[in-house]
Amino acid sequence: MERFYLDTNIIFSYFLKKFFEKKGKQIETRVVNFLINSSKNIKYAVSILVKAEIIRILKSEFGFEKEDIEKAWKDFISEISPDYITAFQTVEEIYNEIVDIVSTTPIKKRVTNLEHLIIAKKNDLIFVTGDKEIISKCKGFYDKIWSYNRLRKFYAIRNDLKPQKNDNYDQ
Amino acid sequence: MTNDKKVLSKKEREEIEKAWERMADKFWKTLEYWKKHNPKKYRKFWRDYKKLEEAFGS
Repeated sequence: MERFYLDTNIIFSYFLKKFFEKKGKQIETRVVNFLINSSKNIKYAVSILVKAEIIRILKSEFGFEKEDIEKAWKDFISEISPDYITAFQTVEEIYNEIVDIVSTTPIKKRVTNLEHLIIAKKNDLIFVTGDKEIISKCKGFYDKIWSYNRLRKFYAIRNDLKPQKNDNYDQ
Repeated sequence: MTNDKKVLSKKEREEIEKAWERMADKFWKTLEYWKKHNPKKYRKFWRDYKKLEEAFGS
């Protein structure tokens, strides 16, 4: 059974949806609707790094209180029920792998998404990301990297009851 | 596979809903502030949001 490690952008959309709903505002919420609906059938995972990134954005961009952020995170965990991945590797181990990548592949962006990638790799999770640089350059390092589109297509096929459906869901 | 959802108590649910309301108020005020005083940031917020929606496909 596949387990998916989602990047922070997808997770953050959950929080945005809640804010807009509470204000009675209608916006397109395709991403988070997918996340909520698919979480009933496929397994997601988050790590302390995802939590840290979400909390950083909520605090630095919007100035929310720590207690409110904790409650919102608790609600997210309750609704989506992701596995909470503990990274047992030392910082040294994780960054040694990142050094391997950046010394052989020119990566322009900062290393946060590479940290996610290493956590996904160490836990045998499929890393779902919108980071095109990771998708295009890092598959040689870890082949379980999927685009959002690939996850969406995979889920559509997985939930299709037609037995002869073509399973070529590659991006 | 069906994922088990953690059931929150009534009190926990009420506290969480109040927290969401407080945050939503602050969020909305921040967006309004950006719109008036930091339009570049306001536009970036919506651009990033739309980009994510589009990246997910239809």
